[in-house]
Amino acid sequence: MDVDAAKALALGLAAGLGAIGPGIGVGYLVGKTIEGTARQPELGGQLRGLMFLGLALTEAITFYALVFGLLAFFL
Amino acid sequence: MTTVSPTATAVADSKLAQQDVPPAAPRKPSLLGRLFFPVVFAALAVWGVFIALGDPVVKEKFDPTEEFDLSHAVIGGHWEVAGIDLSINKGVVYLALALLGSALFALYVYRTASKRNKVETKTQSGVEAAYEFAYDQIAGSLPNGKLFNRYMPFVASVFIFIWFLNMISFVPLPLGHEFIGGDGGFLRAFGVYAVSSNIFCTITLAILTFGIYHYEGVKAHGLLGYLKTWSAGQKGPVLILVYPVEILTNLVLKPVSLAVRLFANMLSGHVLILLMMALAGVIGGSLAVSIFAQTMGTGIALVFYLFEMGLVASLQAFIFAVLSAIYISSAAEEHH
Repeated sequence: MDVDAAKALALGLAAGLGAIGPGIGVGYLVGKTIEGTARQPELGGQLRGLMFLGLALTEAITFYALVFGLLAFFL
Repeated sequence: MTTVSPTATAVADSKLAQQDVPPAAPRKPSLLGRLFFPVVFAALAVWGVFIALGDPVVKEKFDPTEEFDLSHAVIGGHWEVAGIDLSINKGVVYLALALLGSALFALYVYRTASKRNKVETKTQSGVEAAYEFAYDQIAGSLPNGKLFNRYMPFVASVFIFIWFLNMISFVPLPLGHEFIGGDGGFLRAFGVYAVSSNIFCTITLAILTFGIYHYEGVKAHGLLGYLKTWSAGQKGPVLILVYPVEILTNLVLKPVSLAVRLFANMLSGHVLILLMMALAGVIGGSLAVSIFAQTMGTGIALVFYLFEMGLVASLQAFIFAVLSAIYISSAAEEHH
């Protein structure tokens, strides 16, 4: 296989596969927050704050995968 | 006649009261409301045709990663001191602007805080809301007392500074490499660039936090005591497994994840916006394909621009500051 093609494949695979886990995580997180808010609406504000914190932490994992993909692509 | 308890009557009354409210008349969509989507779509299509019909040589040359190249001096020439490149590139300008913004913010808070009895203006209440948010939501992660007083200013200013860095990155500024109208022009090409999409900017901020939480940890427990708190409450042979992971977490993963999270978020957002704004140049193809791709791409770029500016920019600033506060307090807190 051509080296450039392999690099492009590596970037695509790393970024794509790396998005699966965080996707599940974000869905779970938001779903549980909605569930919690529906159960106890008075805690909604607090839960939303925690949700955003968790969202950013979960979302960041996608970017680790992307960064490693980019490393494979450019190095 | 049945007797009704007072609470039941009250409930019935309130229900009645609710029903008495006349239903709101269905709102007539205004002319602006009806024309909104057609006008937006027409504008996108105009941009699409404009880019698709553009100079094929220019389109061929287009590369979004060029926007992140910092090797060109924007103000002054190429300055070098003792082999270190000190020329003022656009990253420096963006940093200076964000610094100016946060300094003005701080000055404004300081000036208005001393004039309590004046009527509150809109700007003032907005700025105060931002300050209160930094005080309660971000510094709230610090334990009360000495640590709070010492590091509330740090985490709050990290928040405000990164927020300005991220928000300025969505304002098109004339700081590109090329000049409008060829090399002779006096105005540089406009572009959106985020200095927080450069890892050296974010890793510097992360190293600040890294230094502070280790300093506070050593100060609270002593050097050996601080190293003992990394055992995460475990005792015995499990430590062989736990301790290396904790060393890795404390020395590498915490600062690197802080830096990479901010940098990668801003970088991917800006690459996406730039890529979509000139999609026709990226994918090429026939004229019809170009026009279609560019119209769609411009729409996607617009949506992502609003999403990045409205949510991601503020969220990442918030996360960076909150995690800094959490790391500082977890290093200094008592472990049992």
